[in-house]
This record gives sequence, structure tokens and C-alpha cells, in this order.
Amino acid sequence: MRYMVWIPLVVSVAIAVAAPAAALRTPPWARPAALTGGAVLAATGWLWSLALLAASLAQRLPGLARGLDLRVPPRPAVDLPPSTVGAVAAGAVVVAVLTLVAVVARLARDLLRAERMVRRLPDGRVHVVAHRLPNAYAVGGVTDGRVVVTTAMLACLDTDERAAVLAHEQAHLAGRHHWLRMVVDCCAAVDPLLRHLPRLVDAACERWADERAVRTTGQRVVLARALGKAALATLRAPRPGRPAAETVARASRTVTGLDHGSVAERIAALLDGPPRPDRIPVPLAVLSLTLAVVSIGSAVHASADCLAPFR
Amino acid sequence: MRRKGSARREAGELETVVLAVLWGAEQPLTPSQAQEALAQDGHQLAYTSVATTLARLHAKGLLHRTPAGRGHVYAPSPDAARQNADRMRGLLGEGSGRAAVLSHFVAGLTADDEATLLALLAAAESDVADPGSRQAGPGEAEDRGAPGPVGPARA
Repeated sequence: MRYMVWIPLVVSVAIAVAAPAAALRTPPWARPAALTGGAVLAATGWLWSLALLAASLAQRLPGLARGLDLRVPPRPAVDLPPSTVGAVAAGAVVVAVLTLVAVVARLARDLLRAERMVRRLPDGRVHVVAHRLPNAYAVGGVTDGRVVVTTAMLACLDTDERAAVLAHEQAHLAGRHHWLRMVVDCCAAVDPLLRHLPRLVDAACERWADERAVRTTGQRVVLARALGKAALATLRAPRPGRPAAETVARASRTVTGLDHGSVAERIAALLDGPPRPDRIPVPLAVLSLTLAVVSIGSAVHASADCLAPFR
Repeated sequence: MRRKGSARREAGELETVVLAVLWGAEQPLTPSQAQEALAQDGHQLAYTSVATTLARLHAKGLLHRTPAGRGHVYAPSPDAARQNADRMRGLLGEGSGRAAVLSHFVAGLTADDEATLLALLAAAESDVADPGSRQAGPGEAEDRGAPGPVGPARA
């Protein structure tokens, strides 16, 4: 039954590989939550399996087993994973936990800073900021969020387009996207194979917010136009002291042509009309559920097996 | 329950739309002028809702109010915008790439995107002129290749 412990690892690899393709087949309204759920399943399965493999190392080492007062069952040593596997797993667990702690610390600092800013701004969801660079963004804190738009951004849009931009940013707050992003950042910290998930979730959140804004304003083309104008104004805005390096660095991570993440892809998606498919394809749903059940089931089974000596 | 949620959202949206109209106007507006401007943008609103929203925005310090005739005229408050800028500085000063708490409207642009964006904007403009053209078919995708004659950034 020892192979059970490997199954969550295999499932998390499968999720990491299939996530980009599966995201494209999921309608925008379900995409952020589905990707985040998949990332959580993959990361917990990954970490748990590694921890179980690391635990098997303790049974391998008689000194350690005595020290921990383990009841090592009289079983042939071939039934345990090789000790090199146990050692590698133990190292991987340590690295994963340390990385996770560092990421959580960074996220907590960002979140507290955002919360402070939310409280400093007066009541009301939308705030105009005097700034010569066009920009609009949503800040999500712990208790609430704010939408901030610069005067330069307002200047390059007409009234309908402004409403569309603000609806888009408010949708991020309504969808609690900053929480999803933080969860996915933690998952990627634990499991290096999920490194591309934060970017996918970012792109999914943008599409979600685009479609939500279209639903509230009822003007698909207006939002597309606003996106185009805002993007052009951002590109053309002079940035003394800070050349476009930041934008370029970020773009190199974003432009993959697959994730609907770039502004151009978002505009094209908007102009293509209401998204199809509108429902989650049944085979995809069945496959995802099966993976989840198999992963959790095998993890539980393997835990009972691996942790028996520790009771 | 659902009704209550949507009613609250509408109040927030109303403030957004009204604020946007005032930032777009060249001079301070009376409630009825604001109502007219909103109507031009396709928002048919009762005079009382516009007036209430203006008063609420003023109470929040987002609008200036000056007496004019028998009523008031409203203008967006540049002071509020500047104060906001000061409040934001701490967060924006860091500028450390992607932060989970910030969702930018546009992110991830390269200079190469300009031509694509112009073409897409041209497609969007032609959509407005002829809303039926969306159903035209897949041939449209090719049209987006060429930059269109649009100069959209009127900053």
C-alpha cells in the first residue's frame, strides 16, 4: 500500500501541468475560484506527501525511532521508501516551510499597509488622486477596500468609459480577488511546480472583473475602448527617473499568449462578445472532482499507514 | 436578501457615475445640469437622486459646493484629490512590482503593444458605429492586424 503516499504528489504535478489548458476551458466567472481551488489542492497534497515521506525516515533510523519512542512494526525494510527519498523529502519540507513563512510575512506586511491606507482614505469606495500618470487600481485591505483613480486617467476617458473602469475595479473588491491572490502566492511558495499559478490567477481575475463590469454597465465595447485608451495613455506617459523598465519587466512574465492576461488579449476577448462556454464543461468538472477525491483519499489512507508508528 | 445587496450596490454606483460626470465637466454643475449630463450619458435619473448623491459626495469631502442663485453648484475637489495623493504615497512609493493587494486596471504592457492596441481600438470604434458587425464572423480577426486611424489618448 506504500504507493498511496505518492498519489497526491502525482495529482499535484498533473494540476500544475493541466492548469493553463483547463483555465481556458473554464468560463471567466468560474476561473479565479477554480484555479485557486486547484492550487490549494495541489500545494496541500504536495506538502503532505513530502511530510509523510520525511516521516518514514524516522522509522529507518533506529536511533531516531528509539528517541521518538516509535513502535516500529516488524515489517520488511523494502516496504518503506528508500532512506534517500526520505532525506530528500525532509529537505524539501524544510525549504517549503521556510519559503512559506517568508511569503506569508511579505503578504502580511502588504496587507497591513493596504489596510492602513484604506483607513486613511475617507469613506466611499472611489477616490480620485491628483497624479500626472494615468492609473486606476483597487486596494484590498482586511476590513474593506478602495478604488483609486488618478486625475490623469480620468482625463483620457469619457464618462461612460470612466464608469466602466470603476466598475471593473469595484468588481475586484466584490470578488475579493486580493485574498485569492494571497492564497495562490502561498501555494506557489510551497510547491515550486505551481510557480505559474499566480500569473494565471491574476489573468483570470482581470477577465472576471471585465465580465462583471460588463454585466453592471451593460456596455461591452465601452470597457474594451476604456482598456485600450488607458493602456495607450500608460504607454505614452512620460516617466522621468523611472523608465519603462518596470512595465517591461512585468510584461515579460505576463505575455504568454495563452492566459488572456495581457491588455490586448482582454480587449480582444471583450470584443469577441459574451464568453463561450458559459458553463463549466462536464468532463472537466468530473475530472477535477475525481482528482480531488483521489488525492484526498490517498492522502488520508497514506497518513493512517505512515503515521501509525507515531501514535 | 438579493434585492438589498443590489440596492446598496446601486447607491455606490450612483456616486461613481455622478463623480465621473463632475470630473468630466468643464465648470461646476447645478444638480439639474448634472442630471442633464447624466442623461446624455444614458443614465436617466430622478432629480432627487442626483441631488441626494451630490450632497452625500459633498459630505464626504469629494466635492466643493458653492452657493449660486437659489441653490448650489458642485465641482470636484482638487484638494481631496491632492490629499488622497499624499495618503497614497506610502503604498505607491514601494512600487515593488506585483502586490497581491493591488489590482491595476492595466498592467503588463510593452512598447510593442501600441500597434495592437491601436488596431483593437479601431475595431472597438467600428463596433460602436455598427453594433451588428460583431456577428459578422471570424473574418474580423484579420482586420485587427492593421493599425487603425484612431488617436485615442486625449490626455
